[in-house]
Amino acid sequence: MRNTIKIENVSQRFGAIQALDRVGLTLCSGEVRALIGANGSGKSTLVKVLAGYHVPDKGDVDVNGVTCSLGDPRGVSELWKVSVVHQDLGLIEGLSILENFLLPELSSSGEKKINWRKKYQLVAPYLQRFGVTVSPYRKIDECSRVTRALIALARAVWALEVESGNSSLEEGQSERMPGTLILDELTAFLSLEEVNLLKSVIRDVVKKGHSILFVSHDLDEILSFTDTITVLRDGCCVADRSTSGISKDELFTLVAGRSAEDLKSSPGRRDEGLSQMKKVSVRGLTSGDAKMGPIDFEVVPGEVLGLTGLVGSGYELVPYALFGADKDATGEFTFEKGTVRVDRLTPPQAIGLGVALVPGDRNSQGLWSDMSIAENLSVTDRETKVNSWLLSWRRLWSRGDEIVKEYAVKAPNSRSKIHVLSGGNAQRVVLAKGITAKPVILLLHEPVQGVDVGSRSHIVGTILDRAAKGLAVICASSDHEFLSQVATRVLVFSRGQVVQELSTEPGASFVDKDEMVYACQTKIAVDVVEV
Amino acid sequence: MLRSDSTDAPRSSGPRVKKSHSARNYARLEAFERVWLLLVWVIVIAVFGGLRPHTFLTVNTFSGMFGLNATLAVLALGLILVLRVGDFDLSLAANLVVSSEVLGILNAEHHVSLLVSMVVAVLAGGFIGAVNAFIILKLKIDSFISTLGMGSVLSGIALWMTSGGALTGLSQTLVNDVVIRRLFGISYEFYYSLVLMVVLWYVFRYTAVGRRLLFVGKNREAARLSGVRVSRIRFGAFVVAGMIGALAGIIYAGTSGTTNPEAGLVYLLPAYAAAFLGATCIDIGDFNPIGTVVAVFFLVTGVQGLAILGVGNFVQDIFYGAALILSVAGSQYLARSKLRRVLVAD
Repeated sequence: MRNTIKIENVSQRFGAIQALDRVGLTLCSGEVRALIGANGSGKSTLVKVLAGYHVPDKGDVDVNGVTCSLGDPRGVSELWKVSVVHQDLGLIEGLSILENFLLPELSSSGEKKINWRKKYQLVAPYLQRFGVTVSPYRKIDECSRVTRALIALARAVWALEVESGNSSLEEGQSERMPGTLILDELTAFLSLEEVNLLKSVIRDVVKKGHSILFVSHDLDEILSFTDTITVLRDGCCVADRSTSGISKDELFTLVAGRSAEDLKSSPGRRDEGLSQMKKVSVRGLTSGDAKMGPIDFEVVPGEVLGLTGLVGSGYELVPYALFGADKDATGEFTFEKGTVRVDRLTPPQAIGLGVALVPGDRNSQGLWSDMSIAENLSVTDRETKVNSWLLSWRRLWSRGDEIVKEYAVKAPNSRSKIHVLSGGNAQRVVLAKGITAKPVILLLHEPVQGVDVGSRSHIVGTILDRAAKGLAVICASSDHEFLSQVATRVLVFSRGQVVQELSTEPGASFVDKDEMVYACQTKIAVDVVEV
Repeated sequence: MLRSDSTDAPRSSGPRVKKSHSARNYARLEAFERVWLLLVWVIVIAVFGGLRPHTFLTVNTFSGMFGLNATLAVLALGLILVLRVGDFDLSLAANLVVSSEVLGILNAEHHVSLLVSMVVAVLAGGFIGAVNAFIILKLKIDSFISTLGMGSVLSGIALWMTSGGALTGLSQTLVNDVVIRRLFGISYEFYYSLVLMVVLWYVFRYTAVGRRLLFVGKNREAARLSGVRVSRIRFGAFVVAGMIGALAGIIYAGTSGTTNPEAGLVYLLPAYAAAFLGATCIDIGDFNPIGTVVAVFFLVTGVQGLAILGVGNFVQDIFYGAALILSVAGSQYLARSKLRRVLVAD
């Protein structure tokens, strides 16, 4: 039987802001629906409402013709099952796969004694169907990222299929409550190959008659993979369309509210004199855990060098090693100020020498979320100080306001706290914080991860502009689309080594995206053959 | 205050914004949140004053409350230095005891001049802080556990130093300058704690080092990747806190005229209660010197008032302990309600 779940008229107000305004969407069994919107569009709030974490001000759900208010969580749960896989997966390290898998069940069921052997016999074959071949007795810590994602996925689907309090699982149950699986930016931290693996698993889930809500920022992923699309902007549903027959530009315009042409930044003119300046050459760079290196490469001031590869290939360790943040890294680099040994380098020295890092995880590594934008910027900004000892708050606020304006951060002024900013705006602040340290070498790790399309093009523009002004930029990212907008040269990593160097085709401004994707995939294959 | 208008004003891109009215309400609410403890303090004084006007509302009661609690205030001020960098120091009260014993032994037993004895006592406090920092930073042991152990070690050392007894015969100059001499009816020691409060406030607010303390305390990894010398800052915080702990020891010795290997230890919990309660006002969410001193005198007023009402001594322990728990619970509630107010659409 085909189930149809209609979400209708969901409204939610937070203080002065209407987060959701009469939003509706339809979920049909066997269908993948995309939910997309810029940061701050109300997407997360809607997911929370659907998952039952949050009771909205208003809203109904209609399941196969039976209507129930979303304000009545118990009533909803009798009609419709939802399970969510969040980006962070919700797995607990230190516990076994089996324990993690049964976590939701064990926390609610009243079983007196757990029969681990029986549970194992139920769970092991189930996990195998999802492509998890590791023994369920192993710890989660030993699993790769994609395996973890598969386990979280399997767990969520299991929750949809298993009657509460009863772990027996029969194929083709006659009457099952309609179920929806929500994937909340699950793919953001996975490599392309891993995403493809996930996709095939998700397709299987769809075949079983569940509906899927796929939340993502990635336009390509959505176009290639979903059946229908709901676009949210400023709390309103601005589009409800079938995926076939929508172009990427069209989708971009729907999400951003402006066309891609308007946002495209003019690439900065390159000053020819700059490339004559001394280049940065890195020799024998090896990460502390020996997962990367030894590698050698060069960057010319004014150039954006991309580093990429599949996740775990080691490209992401390079910025931290060059910054002295990886304590056990070895190697050296030479630039205009002389030769620096990485094993003796510390982050304060790196900043002193003109090396700045924009770390990949803005919340835990880059920003202080309960402090204001200006205070965050003041960490590296020497201009906010009267002398090396004293701080000027007046200068701090005015410098902050300048930067808010310069980077078009959506905040009334620099006194706004970081946690009120959307991901894209927070990312602009981290980038600004790196640049205010006045570096000559800028190291970036995933600078557009989890960022909406508008901020994305702004960040691209900023990076190009800074490079044109003579900065040597090294950018580690698995986002090939992004690299194809900034990088004139890309090093492809596999198993800690540079396996290929891609340069710009004649006539093009940057390295071709498909070339990068191809290189990442094929190089891995070559390695496998060699082993 | 300086940051009062920082948070709420909604993002310009946000959907449907009604600014003026709610923004004004918000500013008013936040102003209240900053000074709520002061208001409650006034209410508490009024209540006790109403119940026992003749015994509570007297010059003696107030000069005693302000004048005889500087030890606690100074100790709590030392504590917030460590709390601000995100660490704990559970040995600070024992440090107070040991430092005061150092002062007592040098000055009373060996007749070393008061000034030299005081300097040595402060250095001893700093040295203990340095040992703590070494254990935490080099041996990589959590500060909560390592200072818990250190506190016991120091208490043992204090007993051993004086063979378990109290030391008398401290220089009268010390006693005079700490507790006997008064300004506006309040002993000098009160003003010493105010001076320290102002110094710390200035350092926290206007110096680069002071700002770095907060950066390290709020997000150590971000601080490290922003080029802050995290270990050096934490080391410094422990050493200076140890020295402030020793100053509290000197004031303690001056107030009582003796040193006692056990009496000082009772200050630990009240100091924590004051530090955490202080973090719920003035600079909400941050351990701050002004809030801490206000909290010290609020707590002292409560204890004093209850004593005047005739409630037994046991109430002190209950009162301080409950204040510690409630202040942490309250600050979490404040943080949540604040977050809810600013969490807009995302």
